[in-house]
Parts: sequence; C-alpha cells; structure tokens
Amino acid sequence: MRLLPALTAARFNELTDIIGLALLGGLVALLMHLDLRSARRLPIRRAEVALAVITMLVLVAVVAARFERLAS
Amino acid sequence: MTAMAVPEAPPRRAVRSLRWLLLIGGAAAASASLAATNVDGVERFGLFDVLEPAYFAGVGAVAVGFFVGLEDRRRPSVASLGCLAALIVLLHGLPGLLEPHPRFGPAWLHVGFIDHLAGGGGLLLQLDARFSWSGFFAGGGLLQRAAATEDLLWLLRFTSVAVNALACWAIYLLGRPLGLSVRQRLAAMPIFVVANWAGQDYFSPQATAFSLYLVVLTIVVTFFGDHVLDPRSRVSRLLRPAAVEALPTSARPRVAIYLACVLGAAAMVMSHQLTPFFLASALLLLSLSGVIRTRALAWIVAIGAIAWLAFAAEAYWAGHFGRLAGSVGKVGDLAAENVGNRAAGAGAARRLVLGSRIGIALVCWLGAAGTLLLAYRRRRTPLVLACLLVAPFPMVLLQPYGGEMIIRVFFFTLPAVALLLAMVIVPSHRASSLWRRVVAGFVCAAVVPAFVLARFGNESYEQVTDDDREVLAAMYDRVPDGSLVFVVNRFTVLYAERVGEVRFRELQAREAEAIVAEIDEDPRASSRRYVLLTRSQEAYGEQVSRRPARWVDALVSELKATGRFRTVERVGPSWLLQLVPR
Repeated sequence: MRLLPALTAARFNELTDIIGLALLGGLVALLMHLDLRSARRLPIRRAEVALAVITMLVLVAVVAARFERLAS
Repeated sequence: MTAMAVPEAPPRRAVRSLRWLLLIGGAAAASASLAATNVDGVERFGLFDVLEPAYFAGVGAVAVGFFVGLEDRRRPSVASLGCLAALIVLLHGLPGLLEPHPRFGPAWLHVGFIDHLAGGGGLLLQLDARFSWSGFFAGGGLLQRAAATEDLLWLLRFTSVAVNALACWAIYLLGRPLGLSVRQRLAAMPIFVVANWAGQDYFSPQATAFSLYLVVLTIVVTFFGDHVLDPRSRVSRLLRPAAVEALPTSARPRVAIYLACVLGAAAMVMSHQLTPFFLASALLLLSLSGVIRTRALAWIVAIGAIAWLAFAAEAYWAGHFGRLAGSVGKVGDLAAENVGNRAAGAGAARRLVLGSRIGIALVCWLGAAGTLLLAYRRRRTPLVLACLLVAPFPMVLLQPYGGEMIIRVFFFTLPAVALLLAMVIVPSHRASSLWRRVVAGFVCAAVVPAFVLARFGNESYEQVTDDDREVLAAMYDRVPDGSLVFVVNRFTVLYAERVGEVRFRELQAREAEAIVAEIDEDPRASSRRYVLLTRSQEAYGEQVSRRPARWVDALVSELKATGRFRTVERVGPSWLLQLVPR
C-alpha cells in the first residue's frame, strides 16, 4: 500500500505545477526556520520575512493558475 | 480568574466517602438500568425513549460525586478520574453498551474504505470526495494490516469514548499554561463531556483530525506560549491579557516539539478537508494576539491545506470549482442552510431534538462570552481561550457543508467553552465552597437528559439493527461484482464491504412507477440492479421526511406490483429487491 496514495493520484502536467511544489517546499522550510528562531528568542531578519512573503505571493499565483486551468 | 491556585484544606473524610459512594452507587445503578434496557423501543426521541429514570439518576449521581470531590492537589485523584471515566463511558459509550452492532452508517463506510485500501485497492477518487484526503484511510489500512484483522469494525463501538477521553486530557493540559488550578481544569472535563452533542467523534477522519487539532494547540500553547506584545502597548492595554506561562525547555527539545507539531498538522492536512482551516484560524488569532511565539505555524498549516486541495485533491473540485466556491461569503444562504433548513418540515419530535441541541449550544456560548466579559473587567482576559472560542466562527462563511458547518463550529469551540465555564463554576481566587460544587454537580446532572436527547435523538435511523445487518450480509453474499444498488435515502450502511465492486445510487423518485423509470433510465446502471430498503431508511423517512408509518412495506408492495422486482432477501422491515429485466 502506498503511504501517500492521494499525492501519486494527482496530475502534474504543467511546469507551473512542478514550480509550485518546489516553492511550497521552500516556503514551508523558510517559515519553520523563522518560527524556530522566534521560539529561541533570536531576532528575525527582515530579508527572510520579505523572501517568505514574496514566495507566498508567487505560490498563490501558481495555485490560482492551477485552479483556473482545471476549474471548468 | 486565572490567578494562581489558592491552596485549600483537603476535603474531609465524609466528603471523600460521599464521593466514592456516589461514584460506585451511581455507576452501578446506571449499569443495572442499561442491562435491563431494550433498544427495540427506540422511536422518535432516539435512545431517550428507552432509558429508565434509574440510568439518569445514576449518571447524575456520578456527576454530583465528581464535583463534590473536586480538590486542588498536584494531580487529579483516582476518584475524580474514576468519575470522569464513568461519565464518558456511560454517556458517549451508550450506544456501544446498548446496541447490537456498532452504530452510524458513515463509520461503516470508513471501515469499508480502509478495508479497500488494506486489500491493495487504489483510491476511488470519483466515488467519494473523502478519498482525496486519504491520510486517515491509509493510516487505518496500515493499522488493519499490522493488527492482522479482517477489518476495523472492532474499533467502531467505543471510538467516541476514546476521542472524548483524549479531548478531556488535552483540555486538562491546555489549562495549565493559562494558570488555571487543577480543580478548574478538572471541572472543565465533564462540561466538555455533557455538552458534546455534536456527534463528530465517531470513527472518522474528522474525529482523528479534531484530536490532532487539540493536541497541536495544547503543545503550542504549553511550549511556545508567551507575551510577545509589549505590556505597555496600546493593544495590550486594550486586551488586558492574563498571564500565559509556557513550560521552560531547552533549545533541542523545543525543535523536536515544534517538528512534532508540524508533523501533526501535516497528518491533519492529508486526512480532512476542514480541520486544518480551523487550526490555521486558531493559530493565526493566537499569534495576532501575541500569546504564542510560533507565528508562522498558522501560515504553514493554511498553505499546506490549500496546496493539498490544489495539487492532491483536484478530483474533488476539478470541473465544478465554481459551484463549490459559489457560497463563500453568502451569509444569508449559509445561515439558512446551517440553521433554518435543518428544521424545515420536521415534526414536533425532531424539532425538540434540534431545540435541545440549539439550547445547549446557546447556553455554552453565552456562558463562555459572559465569563470572558467578567475576566476582561477584572483585567485578566484569558486571550488564548478567547481566540479558541472565536476562531472557528469564520468557517461558517466558507461553505455550508451540507448544513453541518455550524455543528462543527460548535464542536471546535467546546474546549474553550469548557475551560471558560469551569472558571466560573470553580473560581480560583477563593476557596470554592461545598455547596457551590454541589450545585454545579446538580446542574451537570440536569443537563444529562438534554444531552442524551441532543446526542442520540436520531438513533432510530443512526443505529444498525439486527434486521439491517442481516440484509446487508445477504446483499454482500449474493450480489455479483459490478452490481448497482439503489437506495431511497442514504441513511443506511453503504460501502461497508467490496467498495470497488458494489456501487450505490440514491433514488430521487418516491413512487413505485417513477422509481422503476429512474432505474431504467440511469445511464450508469448495469444489468445487475437492486433496491435496498432498510429499517434505518424507514425511520429516517418517518422522522425527517414525514413519510407515513411502515412506508417501506407499502413501497415494496407497490414495487412488486409493477412486476419488475423479485425479493432477494427480507428480514423484518428490511428488504433487498432485484430488478428483473424487461
């Protein structure tokens, strides 16, 4: 039995989907890094926050494009 | 209200003895009453119809015993835990103790999905949206294989008991960093138990996800709770927050704890479509209020849930996204679907069941809001609880979810409600007198009948009777692969076995001739077509759709009069008919 069967059942036809998944992984890693710094009461760099925001915006655009493509 | 606990003199021996007496006597009386109860008499008020006064007296005695014996110690006493366990088993284990088979069709369906995956079957994404969030089913499949059992039906009967016990434990732990005394945290647990009529704690992805939700929130508040805002800031002065005291930990364990939270959230994202949004909403409010340090976790959960929807659950929305997203923000339509439509056309008995649910929910919400107001005036606002109380409500604006969203919102507010009400019942700024605890116990006992009515008022069509079980067994024994089984409504056990081979369709027609025409015209229909009519469908028709008594027998007579059906199996009021080709 596959551990994550739903993921393997999904279609990744477009380059934007691959980019979207890569952005997702990077963004989650960056957000976790920010949280762990915050939990250790270390200062948060503005550049890291800006990078997270920009990545999130690009990811939103990729996801919106996917919804648009497959919605109808 | 959230100040440090005031030490109190230990309860006197008489009180301790009384507590044990009430626990043992109450549990014995309730158990004896249940042993003599016959569920064949379940009708319009569900299990309320068949329970004897001795049962309610017994459960009430246990509740009174719990509150009478509340004491501030470092750990809960054995008697307190015994009372709580008895309450959970006697209330949420009630169908498991009384009924011949595990209850509720959707729980059987989940067992069927798990069995399908455990048997090497793939995801049937077009069959059911739930397959798009398959984490729970894949996990269940692993468990079934590891346990080497034929299926997971053995888990169904007391899943509610386990989920409620876990929730109580999480509520108890959640109160600690908020400065609540042991007695307050203990008092919150039976409040959760007697108010939880939502029925979302059966064997299901949402029950598992709710457990994860509570565990993640408890861990975040316990280990990452803090005052991020400057106490002199305008926001702090406006909110008047009470203290949040996180458990001190060193750096490495803190990283491991954080990763465990992310892992829990990931399991939730893969298992259920709604709960991650409840969690994201709660975490976002907590971070905006400045009471947790992990401010990005809300975004991780929200992004994960949206990404799963976009990339892994496309079968759920592809082709009809507009219809799914069309109701977002339409407050009037959503309110009508969640509240008004649920009572539309209902008889007096059903209205009473719905009324008891609405009554408990309103009392809980008003009581919690009142407690918050009181705490705010005392400049000790429990911001964490305020956030957890408010966070689920925006979900009502997203989707009606078949009119069930408001039930889920109530369910997710309950942990905060329980802790807030406990702060009123057992104030920590002074020693709680015995009479106050006795009154609280009697109030809790008085709510028990309303709970049974609200929680198990639909049992006439949510239980699985011997008749229904036998017809289902016969159906799965006799119908060949590729069969299509039509049902008059979905309130019966569907997809419990052979998920890939035997499919079900709900009939829209109500009259015999129209039913035959609908089955003949169905483009998906195979040559092996059946109609399943069960006792639970009959009860649903009578109670909710206002059909006449014994309407299934009348419908079967009409169907057979058309000359198109033959009886495959009949057990009592449950039938399996086969459509004969022209």
